[in-house]
Amino acid sequence: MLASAAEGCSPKEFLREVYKDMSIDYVKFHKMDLLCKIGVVLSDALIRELSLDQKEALEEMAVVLNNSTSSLHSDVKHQASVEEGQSSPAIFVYTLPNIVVGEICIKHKIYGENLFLVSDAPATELLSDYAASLFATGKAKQCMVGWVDALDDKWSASLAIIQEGSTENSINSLEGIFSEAQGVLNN
Amino acid sequence: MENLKQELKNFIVTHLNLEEMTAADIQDDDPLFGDGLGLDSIDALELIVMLEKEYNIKVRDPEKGKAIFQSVNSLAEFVQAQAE
Amino acid sequence: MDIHITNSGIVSAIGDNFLDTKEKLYSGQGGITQSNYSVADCENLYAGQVSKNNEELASELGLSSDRLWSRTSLLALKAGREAWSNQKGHILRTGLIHATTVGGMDISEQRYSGSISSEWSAAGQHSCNAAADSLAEDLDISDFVTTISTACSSAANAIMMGARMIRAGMLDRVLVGGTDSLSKFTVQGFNALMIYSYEHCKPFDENRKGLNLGEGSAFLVLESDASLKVTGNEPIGRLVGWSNTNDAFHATASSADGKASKKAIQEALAQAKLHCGDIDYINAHGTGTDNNDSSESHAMISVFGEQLPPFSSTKALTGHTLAAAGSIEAAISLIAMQEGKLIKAHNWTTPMKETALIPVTKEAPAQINTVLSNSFGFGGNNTCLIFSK
Repeated sequence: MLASAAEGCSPKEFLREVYKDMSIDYVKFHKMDLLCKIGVVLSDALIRELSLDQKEALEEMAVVLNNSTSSLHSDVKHQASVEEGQSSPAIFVYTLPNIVVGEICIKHKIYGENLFLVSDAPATELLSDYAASLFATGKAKQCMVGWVDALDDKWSASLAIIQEGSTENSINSLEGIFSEAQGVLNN
Repeated sequence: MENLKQELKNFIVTHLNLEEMTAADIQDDDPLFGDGLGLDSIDALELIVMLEKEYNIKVRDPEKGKAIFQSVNSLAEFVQAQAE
Repeated sequence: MDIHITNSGIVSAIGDNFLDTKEKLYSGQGGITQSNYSVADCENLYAGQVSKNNEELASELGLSSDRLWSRTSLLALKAGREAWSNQKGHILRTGLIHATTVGGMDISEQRYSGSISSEWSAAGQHSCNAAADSLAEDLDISDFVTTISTACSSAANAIMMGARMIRAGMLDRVLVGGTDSLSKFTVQGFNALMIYSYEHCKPFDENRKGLNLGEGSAFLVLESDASLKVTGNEPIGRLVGWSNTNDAFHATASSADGKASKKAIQEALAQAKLHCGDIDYINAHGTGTDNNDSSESHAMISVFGEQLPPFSSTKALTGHTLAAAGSIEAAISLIAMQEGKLIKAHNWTTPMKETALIPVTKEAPAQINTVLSNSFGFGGNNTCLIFSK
């Protein structure tokens, strides 16, 4: 299962429309920064597609995400507010890249392992190996992995949920996912 | 006082990015936190920032914020009292 | 398969290197002082600053003065080189896993406000992975290099990941750790969250008013049995347990009952095949905030009950070093085991009414064979590590 979103679309309005279309109904969504909104929308799309058994096991799912700009999108806004002499707590909250993982976990009550990696390009092999290692050591039976990157109006994101023992658990699949920077959101 | 309450409701909606809500949706005695508007601790801090920015009122203790931000009524009473 | 720790490098407010830290850790002085960071309501905030400025660090490292370096990179290079100083052998599969949240923000914020001249090399230092890239190049590590950024548990996660990769047979040895430097960005941010104490922080104290930030860097070198045969290094400790959970409660606060922290502690114990009674000392996360210390206390009580080992937070000595905390406190845990002395809860006087817990109040000699180190980060990212002799 995979979901990826188109790069270069105007973010706020696009995501607002997707939020409505998907009937996400989560008040906190509108307070999130761009990175988190993208992560929540894509992860929602994936989680909805899970089987009942998989949904019931959601709280043990691992989440390992990756990007190149960290939280720069919100960092710049926070820096601007520091310069103006009035820092906004609501902006500062989002000046860490792993908050997108946190927001996904909060929304879906996921208590499993979670990690965020920063690298110039998608760390495809590492994410695949990491998921495999979690499965092999019994730490998780499903693992959400992916790339979520956003800066100003440019963004690219691709997420997947890998199941233990699934044929999708392979480098080739993940490479295919990450190369789809110009994909469309799958419902 | 009514004008102040209306103004506060507008500020709540704009400062807290309450996109699915308008000022008209907020009743004077609705609990702002918990089950009411579902605001959380970060929203409380943003309201403290709002008080400073819009009314030049400094709330130094976030714990005091709980009583002040119970509802639009309590918030308006607080702002009014500071002005006197 | 054992995960051997064969060296450590550290620079923080309480020491210039590992030996210096060992001497100063028990001196009673601590490294938190009134800094030159100010916010609207308070000038000269308490913070744990590394005593050397950037020019001194760059000079000590023999770095070119032709380029600007971020303080994060400088601190990482210093501690990284120290940790790597007894390494040899190029046939080993070698990795570097670094962790940071500030990255080059310390220099970017100066460029943003125009206080230093805009320069290409400084822009290249901003990214979170810049320090790792610089360190990897400096130490000629190329098999595997990555950067983790998960708030206050970052370095602990780097250590955990390194151990995993050795156990999975992907690496023979790995340099793991984290770095964060002080910046106006983080100081203003934590003040906006109203959790920066305007007094010297007091973790686990009833009258605590928040955290003090700190800066620094620390690394461990983890080696497999096979790696030891090549390097000939003597282990100074072992990493025996690790775990990571998500609190799934709030982006910047821990749940009141510390459920996920409890889970993290229990999973680390299970992974290490240890029982509660096997832990000789807990180096707590203990930031000094109302929320963390309460949540963490409840988690510790619910795991250990009557068997709660001696515990303390060392953040009143170093400040909260954010991404570096996990590795700085790992190095401190190693020192506690080596010295056989519990670390006193600096600046603590009054137990929290809700728990009545009393941290270590005397640096008594103790048999410290096994230490639990907690690192609980924003975004609900909780990591526990267990070290032993």
